[in-house]
Amino acid sequence: MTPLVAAVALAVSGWFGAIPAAANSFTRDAGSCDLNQRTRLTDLCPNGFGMPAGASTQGMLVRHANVAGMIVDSANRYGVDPRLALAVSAHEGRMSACAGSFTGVQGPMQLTQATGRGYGMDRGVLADNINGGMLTLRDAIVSCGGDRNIRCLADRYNGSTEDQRRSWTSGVSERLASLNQAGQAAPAGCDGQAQCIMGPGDFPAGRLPVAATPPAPAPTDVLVDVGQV
Amino acid sequence: MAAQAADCPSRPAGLSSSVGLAAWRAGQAPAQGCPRGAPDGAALTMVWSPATQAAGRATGRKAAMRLLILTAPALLAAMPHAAAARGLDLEPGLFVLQGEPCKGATSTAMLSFDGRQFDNKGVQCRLEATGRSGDSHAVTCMEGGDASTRETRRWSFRLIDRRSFSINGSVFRLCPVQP
Repeated sequence: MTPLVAAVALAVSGWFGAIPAAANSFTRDAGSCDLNQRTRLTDLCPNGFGMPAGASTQGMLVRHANVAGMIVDSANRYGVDPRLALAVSAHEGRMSACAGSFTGVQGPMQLTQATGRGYGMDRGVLADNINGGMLTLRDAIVSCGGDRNIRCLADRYNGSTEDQRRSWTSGVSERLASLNQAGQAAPAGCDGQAQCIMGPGDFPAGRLPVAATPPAPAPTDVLVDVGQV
Repeated sequence: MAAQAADCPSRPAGLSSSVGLAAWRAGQAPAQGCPRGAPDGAALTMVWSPATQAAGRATGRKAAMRLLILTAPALLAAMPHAAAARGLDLEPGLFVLQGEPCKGATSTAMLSFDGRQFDNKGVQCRLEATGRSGDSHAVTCMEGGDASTRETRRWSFRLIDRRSFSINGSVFRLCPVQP
């Protein structure tokens, strides 16, 4: 009996070991890429809000394909440079719907309650969080006479302490530089289409994310007809 | 007016002050059917006999004890607020989550402390109590002093030292002051 129990335990542990455990439950993509959706952040983030796992800006675009697409669409809608919008979201909440601070600021644009309300947006709704953040950014750009002066944008968008504004300036500048690197394709939006491309969302840090589209078969792959297995 | 029983205690003549009346009421257990120290409306003057003084002292002690018992819960409840008013023994400045760089840290990973409250993106949070370290505390957060944005959150706050603390297990450390 004991070897059987041990074998079952081994099989079970092997099975669960094969399931990638969510290393950071705050790294979460939207279910679809549609700025018209009214998905609430709380529905996307059953584990609550927190600090998303670290990633490069390019990594975030892969991990949060739908949120990134919505940000680009919103930026185009309000006349904001999509790269700047993505850089701001990357710095604010790592483009994650489940990004949240201990003070209660939430979402990919880290919109505060009063700011969202000022634009008639519900910051608890993903699309409103993005649109509210974009309107704030648009007004900051107007106020700063353009989008070149990141330090000025920090004062208007972040509006917190001097230390935080300084950090915002360097963080957004670095993200923007990375997005502006030569050879980087312009990020594409969803153009109002619900593409339903699931971003990989949760995956353990250090492991490769699951590809959004399956790779083509390799020459060494054994092709199996339906019904053979 | 109902007739008073013959063995009912009578109020000392000339007693008019509230202290004296209280002493008299406390010291005289009314017999069945007797009025409990009800004033009879007669004009009274104060008389401080040694007996009245002793009764007054005893009653004063009892009253003080009663006052202490009655106010103790309120005093205990006010103590954490007093502690909060004294402030945290934490250096003011920018704190970032452990593992995050001080320069360019993500917004969600930052908290500023000004000696009284924590701030992230203009939302200020203040600990309502600073009881035992690691306890779950009610934290009131408000955006730019706008009461309509007031939210109560719960932090399990632990002061590690003057330059670091943890909230709900996430450790924050103080960044060096930038020029």
